[in-house]
Amino acid sequence: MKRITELFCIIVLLPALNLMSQVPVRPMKDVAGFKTRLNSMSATISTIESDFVQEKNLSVLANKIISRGHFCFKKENNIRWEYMQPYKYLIIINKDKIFIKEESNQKQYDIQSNRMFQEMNKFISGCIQGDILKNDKEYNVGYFEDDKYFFVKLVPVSEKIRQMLNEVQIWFDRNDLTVSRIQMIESGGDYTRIDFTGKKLNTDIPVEKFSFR
Amino acid sequence: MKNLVLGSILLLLLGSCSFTVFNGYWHNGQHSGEKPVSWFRHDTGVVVFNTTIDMMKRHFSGLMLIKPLPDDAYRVVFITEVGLKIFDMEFTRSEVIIHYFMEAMNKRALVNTLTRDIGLVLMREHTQAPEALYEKSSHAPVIKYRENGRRNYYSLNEQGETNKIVQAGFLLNKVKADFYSAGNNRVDSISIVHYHMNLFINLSRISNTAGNAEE
Repeated sequence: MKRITELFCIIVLLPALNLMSQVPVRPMKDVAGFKTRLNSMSATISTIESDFVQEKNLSVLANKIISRGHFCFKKENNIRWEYMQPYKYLIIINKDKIFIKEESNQKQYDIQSNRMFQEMNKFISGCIQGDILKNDKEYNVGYFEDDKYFFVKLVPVSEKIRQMLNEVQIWFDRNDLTVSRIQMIESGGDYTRIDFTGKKLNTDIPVEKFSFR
Repeated sequence: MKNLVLGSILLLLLGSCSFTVFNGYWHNGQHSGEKPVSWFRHDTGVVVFNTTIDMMKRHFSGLMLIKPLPDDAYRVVFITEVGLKIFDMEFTRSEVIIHYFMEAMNKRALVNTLTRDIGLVLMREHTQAPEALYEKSSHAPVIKYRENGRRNYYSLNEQGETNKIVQAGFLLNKVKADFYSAGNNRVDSISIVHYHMNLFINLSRISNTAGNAEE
């Protein structure tokens, strides 16, 4: 419960994003204090709603692939990622089920039946709730900061995972500890960056948002 | 009686196959010199397709990016909607270079099938001499090439654009790719169907203009 609440804190308040072009390199002074604040913040949050901009940077392309959408989270473990531009694509994670809807196709999967979905769910919810920071068996976690952000860097321990995902970076706003950006860097240097904007905390998100029809 | 049963089975099997012996094409006499031109040669940047791959009981969806390179080469990258890269391949005139293929999908048979299918729709230039045919039903011109023991039949529309490719083996048709275009020398969607394998690939063009997904 507490962990889930942390999740909320992470994505909630999304700050000015244009200041995040540089990665903070100063080691975090008070890691324990940061974790404690994150726990207490997450305890107060039941829902998170936010717009997002996803940027995919491939070395083969000169420009980035940019997609936009809307994100919702509701306790317990209900997540909705809705891509709106330039394509429509919807992912709903509802406890142990995952739903995927494309323009002409929709499917439902049992998360437990598919290793890939298990990992995907663990990763998404872990990033949102902050649980991923506690996973020091699977990730080497580094803590940094600058004047505006707490910055956490996670490097997968497994060589096999590192072949796919080299590093995960999470930016937390210093003021409210909400997640401002998640960046996933692949082994070849290509990366996916997700910036969260226009967030709303503890709004009444209908349960229907997390059902699949 | 035994022969009757065997004959029935044989007929049933034959009836369910797509044959190339009587493939619906006639020779056209002399070749006009017309050659199929890749749809992607008209594009200067990256073409992005919303893509689904249905294979057996597995379903993959995402974005396929096709970037024309010099010397009739192409870079093709497939990523999921959430940004996870599935594969990154380069098709040159003479070979396919695998820059990356996700471990979970990196099975030789699958890689070979996908590279063959994608290579087919990229329509790189052939070194062999073409044969001119036409379809019996529509009288549309068809260009035939032989390649690695297979025969590729390119059906052309009135503008000389390829709207269908059928790839055939010794006896049976293997793969069919249909191209749909609303004009302007650009392909808007592509459908790839295997005759004897449960594999379907659909590509719907999203954009190649700045602001969304492009170069």
